[in-house]
Amino acid sequence: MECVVQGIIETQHVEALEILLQGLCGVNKERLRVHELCLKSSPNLGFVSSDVRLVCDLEQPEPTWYMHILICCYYFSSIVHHKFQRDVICNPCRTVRHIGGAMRGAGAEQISVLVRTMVESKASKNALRLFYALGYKLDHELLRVGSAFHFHRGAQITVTVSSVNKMPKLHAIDEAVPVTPGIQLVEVTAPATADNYAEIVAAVSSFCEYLAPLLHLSKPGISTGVVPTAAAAAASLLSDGGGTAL
Amino acid sequence: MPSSVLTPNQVERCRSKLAVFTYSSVHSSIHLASAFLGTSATMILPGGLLSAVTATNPIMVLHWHPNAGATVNTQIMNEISQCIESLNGVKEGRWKSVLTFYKPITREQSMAAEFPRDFLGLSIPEQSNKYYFIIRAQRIVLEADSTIQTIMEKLQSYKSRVALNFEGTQYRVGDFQVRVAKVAPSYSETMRGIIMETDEVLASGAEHELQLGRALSERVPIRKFDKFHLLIKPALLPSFHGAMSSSTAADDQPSIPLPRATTTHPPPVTSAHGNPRAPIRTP
Repeated sequence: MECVVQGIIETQHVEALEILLQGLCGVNKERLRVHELCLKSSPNLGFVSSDVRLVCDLEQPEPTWYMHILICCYYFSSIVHHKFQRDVICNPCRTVRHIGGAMRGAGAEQISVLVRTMVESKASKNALRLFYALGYKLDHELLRVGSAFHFHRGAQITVTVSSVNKMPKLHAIDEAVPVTPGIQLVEVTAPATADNYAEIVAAVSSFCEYLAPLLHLSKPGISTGVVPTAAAAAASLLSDGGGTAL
Repeated sequence: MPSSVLTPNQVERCRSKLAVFTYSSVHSSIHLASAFLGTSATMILPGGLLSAVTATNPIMVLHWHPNAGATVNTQIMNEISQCIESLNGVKEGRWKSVLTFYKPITREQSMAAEFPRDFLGLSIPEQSNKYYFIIRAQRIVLEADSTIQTIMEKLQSYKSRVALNFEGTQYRVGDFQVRVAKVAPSYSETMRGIIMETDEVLASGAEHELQLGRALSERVPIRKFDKFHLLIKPALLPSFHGAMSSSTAADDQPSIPLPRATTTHPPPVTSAHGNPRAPIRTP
């Protein structure tokens, strides 16, 4: 299971948000560059349609001998550097992710955080080939580029700030363009279990309050737009580097 | 599933002629100590399956074709274990694996033909936190965390048709690891077969694997025997293709000279290289 909230922020305010997050979390941001392939079962497979996601972390390629050649060749030829860089990028780690249904009922409606089932599994790089062979088709693919913060504050929380990009051609990562130019997606997630989800929800909700001047976070699918105080809050953060509490 | 029983004579032949490859890291050569195995035992598992996912070194899988009307029982497995121990095999411990055959979930039976019929799942004790998905016809082997099974259950697109449990013992025989296990469906304790798998254990890593690979590809041809197939399926030897097709060819005459012997195992019986149908005198 996981607890999730999302929100949007204008790209011009992302720097301020990252300063705030760095101050709140006490950790440095990590680069985020994730290629996400959303697969859907073919019509005749299963009684109901099923979706599965293949997530390729492009910032963490598998260590291969290509890497060593990359380092050596870098000093000799920029052409060779680019060639092997592409090979390295083509061998990133894969994660198979299944996102299930959200928690329902009166209790679920009362909380501002979405609680849903989510199962992940690291997999070898032929995962896409396997799912194609099993009868899954590519529904759509996205490239998320931005930053991520991983920290513990009542729960193990991950905050990602990223632009969501689409690809004009199949797997053309280098040609990806933003789905919504000028707007970035902020997502706060935390793993949970059936026994502790209430505590996790409380921790996430509490943390989100600190971000309120810059953006509003809510359940995925419930859009609230940008907050009117974002510009002023961002200016304040940028002027004193986040030293002043909002 | 096919089944068979070994007669005492066949057990004796098995004991004296168990195929053993020894690898000498000093001489970088391969000596084939003996190359004939009794014709009766049961092999249920498609032989290269476990090898493809468990072997980081070249492995040998022996297929046995059973005598008609025979049954397999624990006594046969005990006799096979005794064979191994008579070759100075040392018990290393218990070994267990589970192989699951999946089938697609479709609204109508006719739709199932669109999807792979040979979709398998495998868990092995060496990688207890991993799970392997296999589509044999397309030679796909996916290694994933064990949570991939949960994902597959939640997708509700494939379900388990039958699961086979392999339980037995692992031995160390010289440079080789040998596993002998009974095969039984998950819903029953009834033994349906026996699997025997050998795996080369090399201490020196990649260099010797490559030497072994070159030696294999240059010196040891794919052999086809009358009643069984000798299959070598190395996992990391791109220059060697060990798959064999089913055949009843009876030519057992080796076409290559064997390198000099550096083995402590019993010498081969010369009749092993003759007509396998001919009676074989045990030593």
